[in-house]
Amino acid sequence: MTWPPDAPVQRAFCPPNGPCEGLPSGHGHGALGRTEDGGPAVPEVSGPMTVLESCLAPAFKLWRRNSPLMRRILGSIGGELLQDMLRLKKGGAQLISYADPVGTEAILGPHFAALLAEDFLLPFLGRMSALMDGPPGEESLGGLTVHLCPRTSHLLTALGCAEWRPFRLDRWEGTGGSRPMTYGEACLSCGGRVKFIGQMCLKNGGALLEDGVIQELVLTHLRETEGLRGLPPR
Amino acid sequence: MSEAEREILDDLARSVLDMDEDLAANAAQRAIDAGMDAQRAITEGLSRGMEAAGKKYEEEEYFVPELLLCSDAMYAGVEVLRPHIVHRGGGRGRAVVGVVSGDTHDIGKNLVKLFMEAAGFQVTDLGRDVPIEKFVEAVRDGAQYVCMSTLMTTTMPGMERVIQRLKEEGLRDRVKVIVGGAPISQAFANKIGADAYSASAPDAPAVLMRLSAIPA
Repeated sequence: MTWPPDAPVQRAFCPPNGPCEGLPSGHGHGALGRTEDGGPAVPEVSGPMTVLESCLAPAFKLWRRNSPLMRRILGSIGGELLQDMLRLKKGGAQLISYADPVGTEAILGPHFAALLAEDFLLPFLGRMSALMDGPPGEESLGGLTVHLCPRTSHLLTALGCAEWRPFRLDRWEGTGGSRPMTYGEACLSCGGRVKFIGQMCLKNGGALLEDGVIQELVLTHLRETEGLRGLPPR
Repeated sequence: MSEAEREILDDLARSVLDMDEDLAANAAQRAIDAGMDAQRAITEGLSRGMEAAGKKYEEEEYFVPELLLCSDAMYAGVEVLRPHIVHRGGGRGRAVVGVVSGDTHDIGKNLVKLFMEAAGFQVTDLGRDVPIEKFVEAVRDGAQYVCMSTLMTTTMPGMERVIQRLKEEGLRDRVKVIVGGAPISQAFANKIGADAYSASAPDAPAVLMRLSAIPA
């Protein structure tokens, strides 16, 4: 197993009925892509603030004036993202990256970052976690590990909604004993063994994991909500 | 200044700082009804509020969402005042703003535009993912300032290409070039031959005014 440190992360989210051909539509029923040098390509889904990047001002205004409606919109985006993830899973993905570069505390500030966690992240990850627990099948994310962008991970831990738990791997796995596994290799080997990881950016996938311990992100305040459009009831 | 005028100007400033579009439009209408000069209502009212919002941003009390909401309030007031503005010439100068080719992230660029307009510059927004030629055309058409931004390291070289093309076209001396964006630094600005670097959107007007020795 190789992990090129600069492996491109494929963007998976595609707006419904949009003009682009996203990874879920292109690869939903087949094998996932590989990087140019043959390494595994990790599909990435973008979070809602990045999806809404071109209309952020109206989104913030709506959030301020009509938060129930904004929650529904976020729920709708979350439903689309989960559908994408189900397609990716069906196409063979064992590791999916979730990142929301616009939805970081540095950009949103503490107030809107907390709102994002409350109105989107917790219900979204709660539904995702439930789908990971479900029996194998087309509507299951069982066997999947999701790598959260560390900025999202750290937001959740800072808000007290998640905590880190060490998860020990065989540090020589896949390397023939020549060197400890890298962070990227460790992430890939987590596939389905833990639900959420994300202690550092996947761009640093080449960093050596000297002790073979990866941090599992355990979400402690998960909950589900209505409005994750298009998903089957539990 | 009368007490009534002071109250209107304070309301205009407060409406922006409090992100209150309704108050901004209402105070702007009161300014018109009271016979106040529309330009003065903008500079001493709305712009003052935007400057205060920029200060809160620098102090990390406000963040991007708050600035965007403040800007909406400011434009709500400007919309009421705009038909009553008496044009007296070029103000503080003509500027173009744009996100360089290959990049579509325009939050920072939009904020720069806002702060530049609030400071009295006439700003043309070239948008995002702007080809080199559009910047060059704008300078040919008389823009005195070119403000370029990018969020991505991969599109940073586009800024240097714009400056290079301005040189090739013999236009470089006509214009001041200012660059900004998350990956940009003073060292990068120096390296590519820009005239100035602005570390944040609220700083941009002051940087340009210092560059051209325009009194604040």
